[in-house]
Amino acid sequence: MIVAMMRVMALDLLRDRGALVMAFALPAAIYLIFASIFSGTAGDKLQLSVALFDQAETAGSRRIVSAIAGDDRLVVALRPASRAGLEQAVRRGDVDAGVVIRSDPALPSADAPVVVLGDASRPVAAPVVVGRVQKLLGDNQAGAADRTGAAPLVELAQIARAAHADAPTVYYAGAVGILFLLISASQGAMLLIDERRNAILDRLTSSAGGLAKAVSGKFLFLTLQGTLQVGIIFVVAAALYGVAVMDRLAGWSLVTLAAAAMAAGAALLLCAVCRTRQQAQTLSAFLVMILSAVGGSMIPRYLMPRWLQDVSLLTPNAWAIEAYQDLLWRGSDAGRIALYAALLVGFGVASATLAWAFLLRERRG
Amino acid sequence: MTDAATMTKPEARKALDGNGAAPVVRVRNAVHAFKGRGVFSGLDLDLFKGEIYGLLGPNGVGKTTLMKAISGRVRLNGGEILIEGADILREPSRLSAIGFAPQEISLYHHLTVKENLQVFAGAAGVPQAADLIRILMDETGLAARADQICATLSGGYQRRVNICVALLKRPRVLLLDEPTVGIDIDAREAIHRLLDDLRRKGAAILVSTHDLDQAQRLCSRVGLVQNGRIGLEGRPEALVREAFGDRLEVVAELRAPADAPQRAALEADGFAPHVSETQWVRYDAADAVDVADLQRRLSHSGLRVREIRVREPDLSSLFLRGTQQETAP
Repeated sequence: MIVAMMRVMALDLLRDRGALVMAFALPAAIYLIFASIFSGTAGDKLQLSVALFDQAETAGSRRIVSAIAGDDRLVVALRPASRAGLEQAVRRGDVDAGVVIRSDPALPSADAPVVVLGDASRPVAAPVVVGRVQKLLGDNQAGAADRTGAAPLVELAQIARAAHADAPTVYYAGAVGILFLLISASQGAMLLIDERRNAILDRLTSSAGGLAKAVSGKFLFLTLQGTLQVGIIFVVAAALYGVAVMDRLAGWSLVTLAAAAMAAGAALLLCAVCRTRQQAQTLSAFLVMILSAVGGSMIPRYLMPRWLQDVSLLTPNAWAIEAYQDLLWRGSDAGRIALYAALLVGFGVASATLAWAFLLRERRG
Repeated sequence: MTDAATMTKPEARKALDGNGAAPVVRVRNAVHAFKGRGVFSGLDLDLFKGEIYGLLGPNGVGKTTLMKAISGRVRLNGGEILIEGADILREPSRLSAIGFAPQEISLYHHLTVKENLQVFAGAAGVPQAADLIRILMDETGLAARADQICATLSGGYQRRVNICVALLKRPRVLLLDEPTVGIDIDAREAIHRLLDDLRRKGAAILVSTHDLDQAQRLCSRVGLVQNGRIGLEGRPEALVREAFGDRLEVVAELRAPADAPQRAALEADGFAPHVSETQWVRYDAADAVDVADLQRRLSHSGLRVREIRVREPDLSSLFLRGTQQETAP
């Protein structure tokens, strides 16, 4: 009996590719992603992008500019022409922090010669940059002048924000919202599998509307369901943490509808290509975990290695999170928010269209 | 014995449709293959107003495919399907005349009867759906269960709802794929009464079924799908009479399969293999049946006979003979 039970379970597992992937491939893939992320946050390997502005333009300041540019922990992503430009880059989230060299570090001064500008949405980044710059100053003996009683070499400053909420509450409202959008849209779209299996879809598609209207109806419902779901998350965020949704209601509605449309389309495509609920559940769990881990729903993107940050920009999770950050925290220009919304809607509509095409091909045998 | 395949088509149709009306559904020279295997090879079928046509045949001969083709869900590789005289490929709007109840219970099981009908009526764009749903639930005996969740209904009631959905478009043609499979006798009788009522109201009904008793009692005409075409076709009683005349079916059921000499003896005695290795059949004139003598002769050949049954042949006799001819080498 025991052997028979073991055999039937082994056969069941071996013949279910989805279960095999879930059992053996997914854990390793998830481990690799989390290992990559957390090995990057350990401090000695964390690589941060900075904007660098040399306001002093002295021999000593140029030495420290060269040192920062040559450092393997700091990536000089931008060299703005003014402090205002640097502040804007930090505010927009284009870089993790900004470094302003106000005066020659080798000369005595009342103020700290170097200012590191950080943003509350990346709370770890600026202090790490401060530590790194201090080390570079020491290594280059830039601070060799007698600074007894003077200000420290490096000063940490934060970008001023009008927002009342903490940055993480804004970040995770978006990150959790997109995560649950994907989960609930996948669950909702699984009705499509039942409808195919028991020929309901045949009935629906032979009706006046046809397949296109059947898919469109599902797409719209899942989009509205997702909008409501994310709406509830942000209502809680606004009520308890002061996230300024009402101040940006139009933009929030646009981004939320776009994110919900993305999840609806992706879920319909997933359920169009899967033959059984079990397959769809396995595949959706796999995809949602991977997308959420890589896309920043679990861990902020800036803590990831640079290569993974680049990869994460290909995920709809990152588009949605960045759009909410731009809208509710950074106050970025409407063009960038519209771009992310367009990417999300495009992804959703393209996925729903592919689902329709797949189902049409299936119906025609 | 007359070849039933040659006696039916124009004569039977003329007899059935004496006023010369054109068929509501006409399938002409249908050709279809699935995954490289031919399903139809020149199949013809006519369905007239006010008739129930039983589509018979073993599994895999294409009964469901034919229904799907008529309802526009499968596109044939060749031939044409006319609904009320118009080709469905050129005038797909003609498909609105068709209601199709698939073999599966194609319902939302977590919704009530009424909610299911509302959903499908909405999808079909049925005007004044609320009134129609009420009328249909009355007609199909579902009114008392309107608010019951479908998953909690008996199989028979689920079948009724399945058919009721197909009636939402008030179709002039109703296609029913195995409408009584897996339900008890009472439920089957209720569905028979429903279909007969629809027929009397003028619907043209095409039913695929394995239930030959059902086909014999319910159908105005039946057709046996053989080798990709309609082989036998006609009124059930006429087909049986034409094939067997006044003869009776004599089935010898053995206790064990016959060996080679015993098989030769059975065949020499006019028997042919029946539904299993232990059953053999022959057809005798009514006044020539002598069970005691037959029992004696079979026992003399060394056969251990469990019983000998004598009865009037029916559609199942014809069906078995037809399918055996089809599978014979």
